[in-house]
Amino acid sequence: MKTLMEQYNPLTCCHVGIRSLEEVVTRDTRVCIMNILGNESRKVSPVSHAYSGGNIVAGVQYGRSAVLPTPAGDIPVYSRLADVMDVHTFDTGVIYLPPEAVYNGVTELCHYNKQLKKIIIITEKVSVKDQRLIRAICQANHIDLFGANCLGVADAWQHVRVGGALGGDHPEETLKKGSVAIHSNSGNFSTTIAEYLKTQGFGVTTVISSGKDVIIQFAVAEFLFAAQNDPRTKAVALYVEPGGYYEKQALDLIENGALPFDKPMVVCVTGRWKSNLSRACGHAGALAGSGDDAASKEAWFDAYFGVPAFDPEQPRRVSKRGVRVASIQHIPLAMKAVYEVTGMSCDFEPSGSLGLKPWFINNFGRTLPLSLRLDVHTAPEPYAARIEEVNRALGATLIRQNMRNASGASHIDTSTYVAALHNVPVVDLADFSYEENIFFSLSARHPEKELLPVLNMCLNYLSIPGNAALQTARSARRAGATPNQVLAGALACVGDNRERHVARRYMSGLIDIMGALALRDLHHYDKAAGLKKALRETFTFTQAPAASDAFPSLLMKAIRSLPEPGVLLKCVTDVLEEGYPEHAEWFLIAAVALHAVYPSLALKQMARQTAEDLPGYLSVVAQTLWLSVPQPEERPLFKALSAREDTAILSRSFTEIAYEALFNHAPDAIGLREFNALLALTLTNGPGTLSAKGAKESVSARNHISTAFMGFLTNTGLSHGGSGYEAVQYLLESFKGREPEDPADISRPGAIRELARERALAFKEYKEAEKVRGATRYKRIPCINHPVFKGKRVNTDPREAYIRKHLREAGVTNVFWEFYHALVEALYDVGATSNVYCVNIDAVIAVISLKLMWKPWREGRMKEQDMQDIGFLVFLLGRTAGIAAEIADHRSRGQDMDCRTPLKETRYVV
Amino acid sequence: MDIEELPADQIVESTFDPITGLKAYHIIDALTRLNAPGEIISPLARYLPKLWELYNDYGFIMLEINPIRMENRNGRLVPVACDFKAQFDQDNPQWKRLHLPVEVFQTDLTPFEEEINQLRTYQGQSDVVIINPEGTVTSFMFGGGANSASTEILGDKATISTDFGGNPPYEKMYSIARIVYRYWLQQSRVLLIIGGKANNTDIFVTFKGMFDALRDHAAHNGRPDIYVIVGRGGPNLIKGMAYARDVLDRLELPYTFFGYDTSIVDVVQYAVDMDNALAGQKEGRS
Repeated sequence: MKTLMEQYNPLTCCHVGIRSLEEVVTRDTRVCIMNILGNESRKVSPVSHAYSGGNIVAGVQYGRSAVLPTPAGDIPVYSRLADVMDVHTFDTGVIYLPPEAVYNGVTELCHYNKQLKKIIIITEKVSVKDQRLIRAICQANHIDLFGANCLGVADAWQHVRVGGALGGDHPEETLKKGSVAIHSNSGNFSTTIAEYLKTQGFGVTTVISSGKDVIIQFAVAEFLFAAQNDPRTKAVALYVEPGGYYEKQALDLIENGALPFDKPMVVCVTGRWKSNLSRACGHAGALAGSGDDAASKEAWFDAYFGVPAFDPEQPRRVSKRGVRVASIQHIPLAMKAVYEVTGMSCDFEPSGSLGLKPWFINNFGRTLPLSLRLDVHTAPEPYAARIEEVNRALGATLIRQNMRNASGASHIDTSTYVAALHNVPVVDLADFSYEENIFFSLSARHPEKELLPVLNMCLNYLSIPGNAALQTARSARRAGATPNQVLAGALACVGDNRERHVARRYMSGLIDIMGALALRDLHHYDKAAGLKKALRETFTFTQAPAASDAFPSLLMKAIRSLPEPGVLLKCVTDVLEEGYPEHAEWFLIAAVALHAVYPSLALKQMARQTAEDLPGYLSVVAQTLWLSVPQPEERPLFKALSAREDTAILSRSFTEIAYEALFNHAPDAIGLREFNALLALTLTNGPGTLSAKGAKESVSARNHISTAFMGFLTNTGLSHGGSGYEAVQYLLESFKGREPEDPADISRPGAIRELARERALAFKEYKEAEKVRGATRYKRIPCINHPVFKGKRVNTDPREAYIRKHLREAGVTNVFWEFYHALVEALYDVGATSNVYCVNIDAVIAVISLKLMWKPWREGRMKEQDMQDIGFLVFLLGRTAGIAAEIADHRSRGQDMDCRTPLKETRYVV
Repeated sequence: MDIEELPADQIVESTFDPITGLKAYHIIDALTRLNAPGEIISPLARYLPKLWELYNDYGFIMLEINPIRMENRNGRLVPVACDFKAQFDQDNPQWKRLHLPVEVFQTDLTPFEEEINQLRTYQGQSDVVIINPEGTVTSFMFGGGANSASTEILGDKATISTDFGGNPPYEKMYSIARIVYRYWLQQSRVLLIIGGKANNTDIFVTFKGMFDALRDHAAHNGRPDIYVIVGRGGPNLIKGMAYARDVLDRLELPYTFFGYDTSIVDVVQYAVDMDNALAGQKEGRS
């Protein structure tokens, strides 16, 4: 026997349970969501739940029991539907399952819940076959279906939305109560039309996103039937795409009297261009045959309305039945016209307009015709406030993701195999000093040259380690630790101390102030008064300068002597004249560091988190230097720096200080250039190196910055970073008895070639003897050949070739380097190798290190052990600066535990 | 034979249960109503229901045999399909069991469309079709509605028509954008990103994908000579627009962004007008 509702149903061949749009969803609707913890549902459902007064009774996530937190309370999640049925009752099922599981989900809902009235399928790409079967099952069980591939349904009067994300994160913004019901083939347009209608004062009753698959389950006829019976709905808006005869069916039913419908309609049909297509683009069901294309659908509606398409120039030309519009922007005007001819009035005062209202413009000086020149408009709230906020925000916005084996800081160019940091090849970074590259590593920009004396003061100040770290380094060294082990142990004492927290707080406060003032350029002083006011309001300047620590006043003096200190440093020093904050040195260091990286922050090239941690990074990198030196307390330079009284010493180039600390003598210009090149070349070799992985894995375990540096250090060793020693040893052995007075002297190429030939013959003899002996793992000559740069008659490591040319052009010569090149030629000539091997990048480090150590070694001021250590330490110093970039990158982009190896990639080896 | 040309009394429309399918009695009833010769009723009733098995088991969305001829085989009439037209459901992999030669599907796919198709997953749309290989406005359209409306207005100016709605993840959006730029940016004067007020698509994630790809494209191929126009609404809108603005500022590419309070139709029209203006400027320069 037919139910009362079915007696009204015009579609005699099928079940329609919904008699009025008021019944589509109500405050009493109770919902269960299948796959509630899926990517989409877990974001959308909490918003729906809160908007609808908490109507989701439960969710199902196969195999999991959990809760989904929402602003309206937790939603319980069960591992199977049967468990939900033991505890809850609901009348509406929502399906977010993957397409191949949708049919099963529907059968499960129908099987377990005999009270079920509606199912809404959000999933897209459900096969036509499954949809056909789903319809049959739901018809048999008297269940109304919406979707698939839809955004669900919403009722603005009852403040309920069920299924998908109609109205986005803020449904109350768009779904304003009114008198128009919407049925849209496009989920997006269902909301967009509601938004547009407000501009002529129309709100909505029920909004139905029908989906536009081949089968539309709750189609136009069902919708119009329910709209007619809805006393709230005065008119309907339809958005129609090509394909299918659902609209014609409805219009025919009206015309033949089977479907009583007398409310006006405004209809938008789009997609004329689609008649040229042979396959779907956009909605799957929007591919039409010859009779159901856009033009045909337009003709159906035009015939029904009895008037041509709406013309905004002649808005009165509409009928009481309604009108068709050519584009959705005409829906509000057409609706207004239809309301007027039918004697109805709009729902509320019109708000806004649909005219061109740009929110962001930058024409970069391009001249545009007058008609295209627009002014920026204020966006409606809350968007205007957000725009204001982003205009003030400093720092890059990054998406957290799995950063295992990935880096946003370094990469290797696969055509040249040259590593690059922030897209600059390391060979090009050799043109910059170590201190410049430290800042570059963290901010992706080199600081202004004029600022270097002040930056060096900060680095040199920060470079003096605490007693605990010095003591640990000493103990480790005494116990025979390798250089990396010494540094790792000492950095354990650095931790994340209170002072660094103070610096971070200062940095954060300063960034907030600069952002609030929307200062894009530090060399504009018009906001100086506001900046000083904000500084005084944010920080407490009460303490008198401490006589015991002269550093803040020295640094202030140095800042004041800068030719162009910039508005930040100018205001900071002005305010400090009135009194010091607690830890004034950190306040000043934070200000200087922020000034140095400000362009990167403003241009979103670095993350705010990295900027806040900047004093911490600088402190670790700088301390590494003196922790590398045995007994630094005995060095006059260290003592002078520790006194922190002499600006001339404090402002010396950090590269020079590093050179002097390591080699125990002052550098000459060429030595400094070579040292600089060494440090630049070792900055990075991409995220796949052991050193980078050690640091990244430590970040992934959520460690302090200094611990992440320890991760890097413990991942270096004699085969990674310390390998240059073998080359130094080989060179010393080769030059034994023929030691050059000046390692820069290459005036006797014949002698170099002769020596190389000797060594090549010796190697050939040794290699053949080893082969006769059956040894396959004989000792190779270090730093020649490369697994990538091989196979040609003459092979070259492009990185080595580049830096060699670069230094030669600068007048830098090196006898050991020349020897290496002569050696690879000689090895080929004597038949020891089948082609000319390349001299690889590690050789560069070895020959430059040896040249720099040559004099002290010859003079007996350096032992062979020291030479081994220094080769390794040069690598560690360079890499420490580069690793800072990896740590900062991983901290701001990565996720906890993202460096874990998935189980399927692990192996058990017997 | 064109079915539409037949008089109504020679056509029978028959409905059947989608679960049990097309049965012999449906064929017998229809043929009887058409007064078909008795000798063809039995063979057709025997063979035509097999069409349902083919349709139902191999992922068809449409299937048409026209004409059918009867062949006399050893005294028995057997129906022969003389022409066959069909369409497969892209969302139903059953058609793959037919092992049809790949050429059948390659006839109308360009290399660009094929590359994008490889990214087809159920999360997020990735529908593209080339409109005019000589076009000068390249668009990312979000949502079937925006796709229909915008493509219509752009007409021949459009290089491609697209639908990337459905909240595509970052990686997918980035990969799609790299391919789109590689094929179309060089010839384009306007890059248009258009969609209504998204309900579920994360604007920041999709914008980050498209603008990271633009940044990387520019890094490898040089800065493109384009004007960028955006019309969009939805979750994380301002965060997405601010990200796009920062990338374009860095690349020094001109732009105008509209929010959801501007009609998307007007935004597309603005893109068309901009393209005309830029075309004039380029001609003026040359």
